[in-house]
Amino acid sequence: MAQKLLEVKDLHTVFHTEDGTVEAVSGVNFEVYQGETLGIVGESGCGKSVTSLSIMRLLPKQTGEITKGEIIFKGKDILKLPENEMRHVRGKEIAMIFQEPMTALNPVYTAGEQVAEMVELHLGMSKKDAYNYAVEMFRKVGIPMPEKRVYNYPHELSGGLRQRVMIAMALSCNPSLLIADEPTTALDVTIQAQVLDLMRKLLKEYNSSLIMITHDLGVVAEIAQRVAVMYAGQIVEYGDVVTVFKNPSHPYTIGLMKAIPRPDVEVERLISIEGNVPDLFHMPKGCRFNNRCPYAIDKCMEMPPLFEVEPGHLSRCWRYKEIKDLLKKEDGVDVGRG
Amino acid sequence: MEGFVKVLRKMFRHPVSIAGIILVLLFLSIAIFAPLLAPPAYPWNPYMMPQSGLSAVPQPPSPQHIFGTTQGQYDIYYGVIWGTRTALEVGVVVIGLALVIGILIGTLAAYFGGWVDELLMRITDIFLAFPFFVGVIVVITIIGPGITNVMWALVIFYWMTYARLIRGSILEVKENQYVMAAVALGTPGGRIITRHLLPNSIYPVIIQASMDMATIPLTAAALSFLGLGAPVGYADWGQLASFARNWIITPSGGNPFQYWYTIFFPSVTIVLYALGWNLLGDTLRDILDPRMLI
Repeated sequence: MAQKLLEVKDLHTVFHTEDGTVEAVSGVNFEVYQGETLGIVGESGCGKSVTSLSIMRLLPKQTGEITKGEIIFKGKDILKLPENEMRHVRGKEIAMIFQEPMTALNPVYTAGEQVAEMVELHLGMSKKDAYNYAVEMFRKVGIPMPEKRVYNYPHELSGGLRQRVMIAMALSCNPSLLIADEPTTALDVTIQAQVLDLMRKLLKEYNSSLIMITHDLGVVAEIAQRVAVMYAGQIVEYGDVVTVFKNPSHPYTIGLMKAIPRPDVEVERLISIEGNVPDLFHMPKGCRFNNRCPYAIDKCMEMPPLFEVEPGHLSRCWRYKEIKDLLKKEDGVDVGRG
Repeated sequence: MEGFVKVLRKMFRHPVSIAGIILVLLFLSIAIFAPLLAPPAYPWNPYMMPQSGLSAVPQPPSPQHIFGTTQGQYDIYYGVIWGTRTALEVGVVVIGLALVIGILIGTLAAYFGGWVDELLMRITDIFLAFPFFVGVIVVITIIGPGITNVMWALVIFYWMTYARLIRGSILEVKENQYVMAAVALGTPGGRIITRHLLPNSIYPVIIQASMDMATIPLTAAALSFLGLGAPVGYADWGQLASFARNWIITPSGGNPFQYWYTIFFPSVTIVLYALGWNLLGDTLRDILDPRMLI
């Protein structure tokens, strides 16, 4: 097995708000191996972005705080690093790609300058070398006419090109770990596919690992080897992508899968999971999904642990064994897709 | 550089902005070529207006004094020309220093937030609590009159606007994803401020400063008018206006506008100067408005 690059152990992140302290991430565990892609899936507000910001230690200074847990990166707990050392980890060891390519580039500098700045900063290249390097990076991420594009300002580039520039920036210092926070959400579908293809190709070339944060199961299926499904600050299902997709063992995962519109099945209206993610101030007692779960039983008033469905496949549901049979009985639609 | 050219091109598109630019350039060249336009009578102190006689009664325009002479026989033309230098000097020095102080304080407050922000902004509030003119007059009374002291007094009570403007602007820019992205890619704090925050938030301050290039010399002129600014005989528009005070309407009857030139030339100059900078400021605002940049 490949080497363990990152290990998140029992991570708890809280926010101090005017109305009190809320726990946005409560006890998250996962690991990322060298060269592997982990997908973190969940709907808005489930804590997936907070998890990634915690790894980068970029939580808002005044309000966010990591209260418990360890984040072991290359054998070192980066939560214990002083801020100036952490700065060298950011960008050089762990880089991040953001959701909005429209606003993630500084409007007053050319695209090339922004990539060049990264390598000047972290690799100590001269201005001229950095510029040539930027052209090289632009070519690598498939930007046409890179010699010309480096002189373009962000507003002169399309969304897809900007996202490629972001990827070029993030990969310019050859980081071991890349965190992508919904990198394709703001792009249209054809560009999405191109960008995903590109990322997969580059990850292979650089042997970098990726944490892909998304709400799109399709994206996970396409790019990730392992997946963590998050709900209300907890991981509810975790495992190999193929296994989880074939044999989903948590009602939330099942709900997410059913919610994907399928052209081959005729339905009156699109299927959705009833209700909303619970308010962090008013978490239901016991299993956090119990108020929305169609299969909830009395037992669900207690918090379930992560059960091992099969080796390496975890589910936080008391009924993880029966869930598949319950499903079949209910509507006959087989949600598992291999 | 490309952006700069674009700004220039836009500036020359509207007649109103061209008028503003021409006026400002006109005053700049008057200031630069002052020694040629009005050769100083006392080369060791060119800012002193030449005095041809001691009579109190102003003399109308003549070949020797093309704008006439004002009370005390000071040459109005000379005062207008060299007064331009005074006005620009006061404007540049006061606004320059106020910008440095204001931008420093506003940036630190916005970047660090928390108690630093609270402390710096409360200090700003304290300075804002003084009525501007009263504050300036009190300071001048303490440190004594004179052009330099007037400038200091103005700086002390003028940086707050810039501090607040830049703070607000940075707080807004700070939320942009490219700032977060820069932090996430390991950019150190100083670089975040100089490369990401300031270049994107400086526009409102530039606009305000160009508008203030008009108001600051006016304020200085007002202080001179009150006798708190330049010494008697110093080439200063406010002083010229002050000299004209008794001659705006003829004091001894007869033609009421007999001494029109005493007030006309200095005030027209002041109006044109203020107009020029205001038009330029307006133009800059139209061009640099962030919504226009996209």
